[in-house]
Amino acid sequence: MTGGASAPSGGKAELAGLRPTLWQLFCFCLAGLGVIWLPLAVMQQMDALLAFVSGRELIADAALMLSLLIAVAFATALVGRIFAGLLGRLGVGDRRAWLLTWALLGLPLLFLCGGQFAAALKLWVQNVHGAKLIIGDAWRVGFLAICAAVLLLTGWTMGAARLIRALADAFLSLRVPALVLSALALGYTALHQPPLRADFLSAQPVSRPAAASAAPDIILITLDSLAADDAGLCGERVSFMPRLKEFARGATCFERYYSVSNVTSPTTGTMETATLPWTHWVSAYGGRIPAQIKQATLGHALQNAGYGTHSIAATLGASPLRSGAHSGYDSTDVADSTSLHATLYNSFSVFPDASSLPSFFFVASSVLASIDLRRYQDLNPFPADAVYAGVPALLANEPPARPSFLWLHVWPPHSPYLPPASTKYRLLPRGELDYRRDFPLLVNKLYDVKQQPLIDKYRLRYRETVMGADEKLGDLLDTLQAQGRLDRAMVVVTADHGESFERGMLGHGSGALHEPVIRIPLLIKMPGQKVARTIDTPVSQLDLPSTLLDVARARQLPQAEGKSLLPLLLGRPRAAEPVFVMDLEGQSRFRKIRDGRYVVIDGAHKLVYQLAKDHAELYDLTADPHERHDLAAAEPAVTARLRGLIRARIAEAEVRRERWFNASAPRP
Amino acid sequence: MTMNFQARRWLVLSACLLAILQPAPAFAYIDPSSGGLLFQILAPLFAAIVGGWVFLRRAIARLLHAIKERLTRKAGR
Repeated sequence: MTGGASAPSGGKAELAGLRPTLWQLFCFCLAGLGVIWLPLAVMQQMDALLAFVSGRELIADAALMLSLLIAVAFATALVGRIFAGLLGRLGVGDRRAWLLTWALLGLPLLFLCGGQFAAALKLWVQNVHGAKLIIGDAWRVGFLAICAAVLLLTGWTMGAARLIRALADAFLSLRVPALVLSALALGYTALHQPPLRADFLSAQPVSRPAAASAAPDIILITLDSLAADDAGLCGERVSFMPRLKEFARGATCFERYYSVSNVTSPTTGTMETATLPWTHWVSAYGGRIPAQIKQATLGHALQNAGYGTHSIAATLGASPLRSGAHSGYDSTDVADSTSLHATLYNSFSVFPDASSLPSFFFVASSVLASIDLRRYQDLNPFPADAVYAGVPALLANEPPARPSFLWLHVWPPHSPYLPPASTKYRLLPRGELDYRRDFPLLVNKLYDVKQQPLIDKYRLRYRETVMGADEKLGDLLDTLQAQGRLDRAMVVVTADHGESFERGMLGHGSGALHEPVIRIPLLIKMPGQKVARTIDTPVSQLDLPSTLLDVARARQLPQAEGKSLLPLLLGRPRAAEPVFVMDLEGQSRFRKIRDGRYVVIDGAHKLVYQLAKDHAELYDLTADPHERHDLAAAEPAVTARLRGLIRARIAEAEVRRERWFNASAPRP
Repeated sequence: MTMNFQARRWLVLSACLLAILQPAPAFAYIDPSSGGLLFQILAPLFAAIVGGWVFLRRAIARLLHAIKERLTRKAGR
């Protein structure tokens, strides 16, 4: 270590050798980020990520992350050095300038590493002792207050200079391993360069084969977490989407349309590949469309049929960039968000194949989420406007002879249930659940039945959010109508999955597959359609891509497991097919399917099946639409038939999984 | 007390910041956060290696140096 410019004396003696040179500051940051934070972050998520990415992919992602951190460390060090220089110019004494510079860099680094360490420790104790450590907000604040008090007391008794010295020494002692690891990471990343997002590099128009004559524009709009009953689009029931209901007067409404899963990524994976989640294995946490069908997706098929293909998603999680289908799109935008947390998350879309990167930031980004929580108390971080705003210009810029496929994924009515001012308080008066801080229960968790009255209020705010989403969508449809595009386009309005406010389940995670979570709206307006139609045959999200390709007169995907709904749309009969829904959380594409929750819907019957327990529940949805009476014991023949059907399909999926993934799989 | 007013103010400020910026539940879809077998094995191993490096690095270096010196002396005789 080099000494200061002047001989150390007094307080400065405690910082002797710690003159904040650019190199010292760089090593300090790199050690903290590269040797403490990143390994902890990777280890914490490793087991779950290895269910969907191979060991080699995880190493590549970690190496890329470390390479990026080298740049971050350098930039931070530069800021520190400039800060120290500025203090010098302002006449601040050497000792104070050094102290403040180290503190400027050291405290955030300590906070980041300490937070990651605390999260890892908590998770480790939970794992090893099987204890579920849940601390309420009050306890969390208390715990952090104790940490702050300890820091304060340590500083008070040791002296700030000695404390900073100890911190800097600890991090700087790790500079050799940090530099070695960084060199290895840079080398690995240089040898295995991760592809950058194509439209990030250039926006050159791509040549296309000519589309079939009269191939219509196709506009697919998915509203995140919109349950069929809360939308109320079909028939004469109460609707919270009046403008869409008006639109439905010239469209076909599917009364019993089911999503294939209860979270977004598996459902978008299905809409891209026309296969069920047990085939494509796209998960919420980084699963990508398998190499075998990566070039045979909805986007690719439409491109091959002469379409210009575009996606605008509210979040990276719902974008083709996340599922790995992005090469089938001419443009893949992720809408701007007011959320710092989402902005960080979305920034990783620059490296679309490095799907683990966002997961590394879970603990760190929770701090950003807490800032978001305080900055935007009643503002939805992902407003629908952010997605819809670019649509007219995008369509106007398309070559006139080329039909367009546009997939818009908007966030509302997904939680946080923060409706726009125009619909807020229409159902639940002011004074309750006004701001984000007023929502005491976490979404996507189970709740106690005693909390149902509170959950009912959640639902009212949710419905106000649905109403807000309807207003924005109505505005978009009006704009398209004014442009003369609406009548001749095929317009599909649907959801990825539903949302639950009953049966002890709030939201859509936690394995729940009851009707509010999986039955979603589907509204299809064919080109020129003026008459309303309602179809009550149970159909699946799996059928949607085949339907779009059918209408576009494109070639069907070779792996397609669904069937086109076009016969039904044209008023012709279509043989009824069993509908499958599944929650594969905890299962790995690299290991035998041992568990998971599955649903098969066959006519009026719905069987809910848990594989590991070989447990089945049977419901008659006509007589018991709220699934209150389990008929498994009363109707053993139906139960056995549907259970046999699910088990047979799982066995088929298992054979395919073994064939597709085991060649490159890490051993369990 | 060794702290001056500026340093105290800085520490109070950082303590307040720590309390204000408490981690909050983030949005879904990025947190597998399951831990698991590999994590249970690797995490303590990692903590031991990093802790050993930071706190015992000099002691280990001294020990190795002493062993080396003793061996060199023996060889010199």
